[in-house]
Amino acid sequence: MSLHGMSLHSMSLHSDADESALLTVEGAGHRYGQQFGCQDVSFDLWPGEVLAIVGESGSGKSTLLGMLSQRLTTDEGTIRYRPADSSGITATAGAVDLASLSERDIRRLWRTEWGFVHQNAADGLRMHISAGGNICEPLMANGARHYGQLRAQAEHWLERVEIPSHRIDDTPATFSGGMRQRLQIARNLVFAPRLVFMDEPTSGLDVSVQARLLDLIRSLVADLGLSVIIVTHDLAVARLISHRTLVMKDGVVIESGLTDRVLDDPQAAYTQLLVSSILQG
Amino acid sequence: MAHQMAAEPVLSVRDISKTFTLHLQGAQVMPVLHRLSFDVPRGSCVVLGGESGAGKSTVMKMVYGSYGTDSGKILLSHADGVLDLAAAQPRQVLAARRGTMGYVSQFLRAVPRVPALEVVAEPLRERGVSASQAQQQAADMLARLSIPQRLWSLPPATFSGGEQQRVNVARGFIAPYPLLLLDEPTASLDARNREVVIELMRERLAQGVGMLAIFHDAQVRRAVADAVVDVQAAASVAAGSVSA
Repeated sequence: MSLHGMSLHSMSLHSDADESALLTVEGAGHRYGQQFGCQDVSFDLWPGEVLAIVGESGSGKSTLLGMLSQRLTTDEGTIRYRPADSSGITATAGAVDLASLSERDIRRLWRTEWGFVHQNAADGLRMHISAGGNICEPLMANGARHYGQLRAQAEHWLERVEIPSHRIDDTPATFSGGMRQRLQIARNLVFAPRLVFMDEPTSGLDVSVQARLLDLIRSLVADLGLSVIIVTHDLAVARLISHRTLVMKDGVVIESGLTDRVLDDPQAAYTQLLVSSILQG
Repeated sequence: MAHQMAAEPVLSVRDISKTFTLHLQGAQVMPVLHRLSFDVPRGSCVVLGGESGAGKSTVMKMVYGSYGTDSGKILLSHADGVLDLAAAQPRQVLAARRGTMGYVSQFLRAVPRVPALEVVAEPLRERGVSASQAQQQAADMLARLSIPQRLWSLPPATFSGGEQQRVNVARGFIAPYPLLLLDEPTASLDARNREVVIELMRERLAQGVGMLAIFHDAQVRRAVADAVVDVQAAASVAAGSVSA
């Protein structure tokens, strides 16, 4: 089996001494006043890796996602990111401390390298512009202007996320919950980001719609070789799409590792409780 | 044994121990294995023996990495080197699963909506084989295991137990893994399909694949086993260490 024949996904996960982490988090935390929302978090995220952050509400998982995605300040520790060579961001030894970046640089990362899929699609979509417009907007922000090409891209992405292309001129306000969420995913992937944050992307949906969306996310992530950090309270979601899992409780990571090991051989009392609470379906 | 080349085992398990701590049952401590050691030579089928509950599946899961290992080494020949799975990083374990060790469990953990053909083709796709070639090989494997063609495009979640088991076998045997972990691969199969699986195992063994297996079926065991590892002994010592 030649290495050159391997898919992007396999390549990117292949452990290679020369390969570097995309994100390196060391002792990071965010404070709300005197209280830590999350603290002392450390992990590496590798190219092509899907990392799940699980925990119940109030565990600090959303705070951690907010901090990692630079929506909340990093009040202790560091988060280093390895930007693309083309980013124009000066990085020492390939990586940059995100806290040191200007707002402009962060905006540039959002435009070219990062995506964010919200739990509520309305937070991530423009509800009163067309589906096609929602998909094309990120491309136009990156300078694409050719109408025919934009339209073709929009049609291609609608198809990829299983939305009939005849809905291209309809607004997401007229879409079902599942379709809106799939459109939000298209809008976040169309510009080929390297890192996508997802906050409970399936939890507002009916069970059958959830399964379809999860499978879609799973196959897109594998095909595109994306790195993903996904927050979920649902261990089945973590099992289905993540390589590695962090378990959070009271703002700290209490257990982490290979997803199937965390779920099949949980060590911490709290993780054992979470796992034993899964409904068998 | 005749070949010098074959001297180095594909898997060498050294003194592994495992204890479960059940926090929900008053932190009850359950030692299940104490210093178990064995080798899986290339081209050999090593069977884990012992009564039900002796910890055979536990050993299998420790090798695959879905259970942690408290102490000892699990040395896998991987990527021109040796990887200690007991101490490996998650992404090293994933790389070993992708490239070196396949796993056929008793039950298929099917992903919703993914057709049987894709489920079987996936290990090849992960290794970079083209979609069309992977699907062709998957089709051949499914046909060999008598899965009717009309089922190939359906997700296996709706299949019968025996059909799911055969999809699982097809997925496990499709890629040229140097090590196969087989946990009751024939448990819910009829005689004819059991013969097909035995044939598949013999072919792989002849190609130099090492196998670590759990078989309750004595006929299958007689057909392919080269050695039996007594998990019971290691389990008894572990259990004894609590009462002592």
